Amino acid sequence: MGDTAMIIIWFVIMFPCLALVAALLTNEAKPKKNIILGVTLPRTAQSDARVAEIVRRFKRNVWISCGVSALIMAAPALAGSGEFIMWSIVLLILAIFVPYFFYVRANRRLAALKRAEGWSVPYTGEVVVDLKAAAEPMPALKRRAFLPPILLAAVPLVAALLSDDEGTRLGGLICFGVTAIIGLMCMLLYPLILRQRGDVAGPDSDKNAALTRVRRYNYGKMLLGTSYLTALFSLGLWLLQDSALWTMALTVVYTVLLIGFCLATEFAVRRVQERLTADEPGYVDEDDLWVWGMFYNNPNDRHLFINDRTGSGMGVNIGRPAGKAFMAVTAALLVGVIVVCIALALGFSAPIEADIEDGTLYFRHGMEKYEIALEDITELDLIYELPSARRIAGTGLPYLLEGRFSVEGYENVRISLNPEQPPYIVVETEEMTRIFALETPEETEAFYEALSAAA
Amino acid sequence: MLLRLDMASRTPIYMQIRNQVVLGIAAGELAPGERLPTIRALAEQCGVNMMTVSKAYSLLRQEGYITADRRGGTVVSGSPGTGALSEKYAAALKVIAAEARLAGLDEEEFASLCRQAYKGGA
Repeated sequence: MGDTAMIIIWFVIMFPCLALVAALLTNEAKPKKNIILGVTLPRTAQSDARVAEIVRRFKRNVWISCGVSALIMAAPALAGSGEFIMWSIVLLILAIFVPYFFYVRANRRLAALKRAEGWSVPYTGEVVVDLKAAAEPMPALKRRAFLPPILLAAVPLVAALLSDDEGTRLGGLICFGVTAIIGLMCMLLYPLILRQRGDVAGPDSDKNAALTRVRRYNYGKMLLGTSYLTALFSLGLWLLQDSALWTMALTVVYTVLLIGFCLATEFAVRRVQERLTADEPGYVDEDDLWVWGMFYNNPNDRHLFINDRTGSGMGVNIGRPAGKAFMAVTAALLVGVIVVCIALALGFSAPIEADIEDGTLYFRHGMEKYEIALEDITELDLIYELPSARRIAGTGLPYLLEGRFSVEGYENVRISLNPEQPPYIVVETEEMTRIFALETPEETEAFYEALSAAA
Repeated sequence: MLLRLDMASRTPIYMQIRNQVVLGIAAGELAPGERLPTIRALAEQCGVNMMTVSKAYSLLRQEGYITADRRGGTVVSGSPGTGALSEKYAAALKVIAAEARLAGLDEEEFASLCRQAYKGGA
C-alpha cells in the first residue's frame, strides 16, 4: 500500500476521533436532568445570561481547539515524516485532553456562579434513591444472548491455534484472542449496569423508572451489538487474512460501524434524558460528589463502577482504593502508549547497524536487536524478491517491515527491511530465520559478501 | 417516594432508611400493599452494605410497618395503629420537648411545631 493511501486511511480514522470528543463534550452543555457541564442548576438558572455565556465560550473553545489540534496532527504527515503515524498518535492523545481542559474550566466557572448566586435544589449532597422505581422489575438481557457472538469469535481463534505453523498460531492468538476477549468482556460487563443506582430526576417514580429502563436497555444493546460486530470482524479477518488491503478495509469498516453504533445508543439515551427532564424544576444535586463534574468521589459508596450522570456510560468511584488504583493504571497506560509511540518513532529513523565481530553477527535497528553466532548459521542467502509475508507482531509500514512475520517458504521468521529496497539477506539457524537489509542495496550486498566469507 | 441518604450524617444509614420509610407511609407516599425493593436491590441502589438495609427492614418489620414473605417480597403494611407511641419514641419526644424548652420555645410554639410536623406526615 502506498504512502498516500496509508495517510488517507489513517486520517479518515484519526480526525473523526477529535470531532467525536468535541461533539460529546459540547452535548454536555445541553441540560439533561438539570445538569449542564457537570453542574446541577435549577430550571430558572439555566436560562441566565451568564450561564449562556459560559456555555457559548466553552463550545467555541472546544471546536477551535479541535481545529487547531487537527492542523498540528496533520503536520508530521504533510511534512513527509516517515514516522508520522507514531507522532500523530502521540499528538492525538494529547489533543484529546485539550477540550477536557475547557470542560473543567467551564465547570469551575459555572460552579462558582452557582455558589455566588445561591442556586440550590431540594436534595443537595445526598444519595437519592427512588424506592418505587427500585422495586420495579426491570427487563434484562439473559447472559445466553452473548453466547452466539462469543462462539463465533472463538472459531478463528481455535482454527489458528490448531494450525501447524507457529507464526499463524502466535498471530492468531494475538489477533483473534483480543476479539474473543472483547466478546467475553461484553458479557461480563453487562450485569454491572443492573447493580447501579437508578436514575432520579424528580419525584415522579414512573419517569425515574423510565429513565433507568432506557439507560439499561441501551447499555445492553451497546454491549450486545459490540460483541456481534466484533465476532463478525474476527470472522472477516480470518477469511481475508492473506490480503493486507482487505484486512485494512475491514478494520476501517469495523471501526466506523462500532463507533457509529456506540454513539447512536449514547445519543439516544441523552435525547431521552433531555426530553423526559425538560420540565423538571431541578431536584437532585450530587455535584459535591463529582470532582470537576467528571470524577465520582464518594468513599461511602460501595460501588466501584458507577453510572455517569448523563448518557449511558460508566465511570469509576475514585473515593474507593480500587477506584484510585484503576485511575492510576489507566493514567500509566496512557503515558505508556505515548512513551512507546515516541520510542517506536525514534526507532524507525534510527540507523541500521550490522557487524561481524569475534565470530558473531550483530544486528541492531531501534528496538530490533539480536546476535547470531556464525557457527549456528545453517543457511545464508541473498534474495531480490521478498516472498509473500504476513505480519504477526511488529511494524508494517510502506518503507519498513519489522518484527515477527509469517513468510512463505520460511519458518519462524523475524524481519527488518525496506520492502521497496531489495536485496535482502536471509540468515537461517536451527531455531529462527532472520531476513534483513541495510540502508542501501550496495551496503546490503557488501555485507552479504562479508558474511558469506566469514560464515 | 424518594429515599435520601446523607452519608456524612451522624444518624446511622439503617435509621435514615427506617425513618424515611415511616415518613413516607405517614405522608401516603407509600401505600399499604406497595412493594419495597428487595434487600439486595436497595443495598445496590444505595451503595451500602446489605446488612444495613437488612437491619432497617428488620426494624420496620418489628414495628409493624412492613411485612415480608418469601413469595410476595417486602410490602408496606400501613400503620400499626396501636394508638400509642412506643416507650422508645415517647422518650425521644420528651428529649425533643426538653431541647425546645431550653432553646427558648414556649409551650404554644412547641405545640405549633408538633402540629405542623404531625400534619406534614398526616
